[in-house]
Amino acid sequence: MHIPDGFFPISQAAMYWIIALIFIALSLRWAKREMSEEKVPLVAVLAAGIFAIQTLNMALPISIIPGGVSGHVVGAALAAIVLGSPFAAIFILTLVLILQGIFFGDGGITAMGANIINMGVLGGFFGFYTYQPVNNVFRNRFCAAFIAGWVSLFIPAIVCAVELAVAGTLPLTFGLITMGVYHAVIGIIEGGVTAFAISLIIHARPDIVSGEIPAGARKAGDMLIVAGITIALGIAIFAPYYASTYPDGLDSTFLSAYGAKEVSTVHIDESKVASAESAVIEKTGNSFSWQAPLPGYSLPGLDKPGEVLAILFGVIILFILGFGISRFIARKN
Amino acid sequence: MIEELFYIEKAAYRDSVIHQLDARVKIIGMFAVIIAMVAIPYSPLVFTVGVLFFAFLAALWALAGLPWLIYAKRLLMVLPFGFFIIVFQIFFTNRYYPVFHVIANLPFGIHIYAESVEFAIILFVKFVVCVTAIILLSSITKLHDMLEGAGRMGLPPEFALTFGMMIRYLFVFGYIYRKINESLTTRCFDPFNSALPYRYRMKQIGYTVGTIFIRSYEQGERVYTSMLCRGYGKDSHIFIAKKPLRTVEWLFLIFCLCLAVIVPVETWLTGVRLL
Repeated sequence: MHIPDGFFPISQAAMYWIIALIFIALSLRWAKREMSEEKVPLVAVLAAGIFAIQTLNMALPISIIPGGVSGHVVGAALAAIVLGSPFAAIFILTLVLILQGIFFGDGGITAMGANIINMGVLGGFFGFYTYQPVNNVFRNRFCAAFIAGWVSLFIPAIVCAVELAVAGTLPLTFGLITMGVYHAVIGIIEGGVTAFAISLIIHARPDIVSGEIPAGARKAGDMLIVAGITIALGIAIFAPYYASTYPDGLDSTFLSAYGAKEVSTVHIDESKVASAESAVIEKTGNSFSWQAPLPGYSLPGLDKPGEVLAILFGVIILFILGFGISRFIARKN
Repeated sequence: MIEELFYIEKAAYRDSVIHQLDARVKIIGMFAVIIAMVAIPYSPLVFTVGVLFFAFLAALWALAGLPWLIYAKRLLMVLPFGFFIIVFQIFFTNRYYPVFHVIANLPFGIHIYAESVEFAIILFVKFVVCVTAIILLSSITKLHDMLEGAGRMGLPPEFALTFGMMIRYLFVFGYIYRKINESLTTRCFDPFNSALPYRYRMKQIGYTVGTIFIRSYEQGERVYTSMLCRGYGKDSHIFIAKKPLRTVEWLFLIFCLCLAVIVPVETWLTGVRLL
C-alpha cells in the first residue's frame, strides 16, 4: 500500500502533504502534551520495533494469486491500542514511513503525505476507535483487536484506491475490487496478528497497555456506536437489492410534468427523459451539471455490487465527518 | 527489509567525493530531482527528462564508486506495488488521452490500447527515476548525517530527538529480528509451511510480534534509565552544531537545482525527444 512517487500529479501530492502535516502537527501536540520524558525514548524504540515487526511476513490465508502471496502487519492499530491514542500511531507510523521512504525507497517522497494519511491517520484512527467500542460492548479484547486490525488495513486500502482513481492512475472500479479483495484477505493477517500480540502483551505486561477499561458496566454510548454502524453497514449491503427502482416523488413529478411519465403509472418513457432535461435547461438557462464521482449511488459497470460499495463508501465518509465534528464540538464545550 | 539496512549503511560508509558532500546538499538535490520529475505532466516529455535525470543520477552513482548490483537489488525490492499498477494500466483507458486505439484484443473483452501502453511507460519512467534518486541518496548518506542535515534544515526537535533514537535502535532490532528468525528456524517453524494449521502459524507470528513489542518497550525503559544517569531530562534536545556549506557544496546544490528546473523547461520549449 506504499504509494510510490509519480502516481499522483504534484498538485494532489501537495494537497495530501498539507492534510498529513495537519495530522503530524496534531500528533506532535499530543507528543508534547502526553509524552512524559519517559515516553520519548519509549516511543522512539517502539517505532524501531514497529519497523522490525513490519518485516515479519506470512502467507495469505486464502491463495488469490497462484504461486502464493505474502503479507505483513502495518501495526497502526497495535500502536494506537497499546499507547492509548490514535495520535501515537500517527507519530510512530510517520517516523516509520519517513524511514521507509527516504532510506528504502518504499513509498515515495511526494506521495508520503498520502501514505501517512492512509496508514498512519486512517489506520490509527480506525484501529483505535474500532477497538474501544467493540471491546466495551463485547468485553472481548481478542475479538476487538482482530476487528480493529482488519478495519485499520481495509479502510486505508479502499481510500488508497480512491486516491489513485482521483489521480487518474488506477480505474476506480478495478482499484476498489483489487485493493479491496487483496486487503480484505491480508487484513486477516493484520487482525489475527494484532489480536494475538495484544493478548500476549496484556498477559505479560498489562501495565504498558494504556486505556484498558476496568471490568464494569458496558457504556451505553459505545453500544450505540456499534449498533449504529452495524445497522448502517447492513443497510448498505442489502439496500441496493431491496430498494424500489421507481423514481422518487420529486423525480416522478418532474417526469410527469414533461410528459415522460403518466402520473398514475410507473412506466417511464426513456426517450422523453433527455428532452425533459433539455426543456428545463432551456427554461432556467442553467446548464451546470455536477459530474459526481459515484453517480446514482453506484460505481459504473459494477451493477449491484457497485451500489453496495458506493453506499459503504458514503457510510464511512459520513461516519468520519460525524465523528470528527462531534469530537471537535465536545472538546470545545 | 530490515536485513537491507545493514548493507545500505555499508554503502553509505564508503568514501568518495559524493559521500563527502554535506547531507543537506544531497537531500535538497535529490528531492529537487524527484519533485521536478513528479511535477512534469503525464506526457511524452517525461521520456526525455527521465533519461537526462537518470543519466545524472547514474553519473553520481558511478562517481560514488558504488556497485551496480546494489542498485539492481534495491530497485527489485521496491518494485512490486508500483509495478502492479503500471502493468495493469495497459488494459484501461484514462483521462490523460482523448482517443484510444486498440492494439490487441484479448479474451473476455479485454483490450490493450496504444495510448495506455505509452501512459504505463510514462509512469514507469517517473517511478524508476524517483526511486533511483532515493536509492542514491540513502547509499551516499549515513543515517545520522541525514538526521543532522534534516535537523539543520528545521526538522522539529521532538521529531529529531525521537528519530535519532529510532535510528540508533533500528540496528538493535535488526539483530533481534535475526535472532528471532534463527530461533524460529531452529524450532522448524516456517510461517509459509501450509502443512501447519493457519491459526497456529498466525498465533506464533502474533506472539513473536507481541514479544518484539514488549522487548522494544522494555528496551525503551532501559534506555530511559541509562539516559537519566547521563543527565537526560524533559527539556533535553538533540544538539546539532552549525556547519556552513563549502564552496563545492554550494556549487553542487546550485547545479542540482538548475538541472531540476532547466531540463524540463528546456525540453518543453525545444521539444527534443530522446525516445
